Amino acid sequence: MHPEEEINGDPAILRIQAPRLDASKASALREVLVDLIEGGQQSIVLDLEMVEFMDSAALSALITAVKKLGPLGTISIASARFPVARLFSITKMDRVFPITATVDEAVQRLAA
Amino acid sequence: MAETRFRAVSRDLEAIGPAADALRHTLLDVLDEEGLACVELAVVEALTNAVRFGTSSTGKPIDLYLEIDDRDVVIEIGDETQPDPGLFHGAGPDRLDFDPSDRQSIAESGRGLSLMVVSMDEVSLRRVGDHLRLRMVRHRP
Repeated sequence: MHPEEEINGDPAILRIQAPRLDASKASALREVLVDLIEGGQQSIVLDLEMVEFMDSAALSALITAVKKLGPLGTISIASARFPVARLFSITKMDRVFPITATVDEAVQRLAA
Repeated sequence: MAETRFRAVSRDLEAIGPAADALRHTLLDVLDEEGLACVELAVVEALTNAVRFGTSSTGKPIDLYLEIDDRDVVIEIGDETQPDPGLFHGAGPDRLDFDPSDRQSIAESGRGLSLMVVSMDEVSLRRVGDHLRLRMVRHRP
């Protein structure tokens, strides 16, 4: 997905700059997340402010990553627009991925 | 019935986004925000399944049909690869449930059909000649 993401600091903040996260981008998303996790990252904030649409293939990439993290790691979802937030809600994945309105809120929650 | 072909979609995952964008744009004044999100997700999931699991020998594009009337938005997807008549058996909200306390047990895939069912008001297969088409209906607000 390079160069469509920006990764900064700890927690890692992954800012997706593509308007669509779908099956055509799921493998790249999975690779970026797995690389972060294998690099020792335990907390990741996925900034989805620019993402207008997400499908189940992209969600699968997140599930692969959160399973690889194990029970103590966290992938937070920040700034999700309505269609994306709805996907997490109807799949009940908001019980696995904490959803916050902003990246700052996600970072604060992870620090608490 | 939807007899107006809206778009022919290449058997390529990269072709799905532009088709979905065009469909959403067409429906902007027809559906509300929730309806637009539901239709876009259902259509993308259906087209992704067709591209991923279709076994076309000719590479013929997937046909996306659209019909809009006073009550409904009707979308049909016709493909050279015929859907299994029992494709949607068991698909729905129950299939999306899981135990959040056990991450390792969460299925990584297999949600597409259920997302189509929960996003649309009707999902069925319709016989057209000797072919089956996927038919999805979303009621207008």
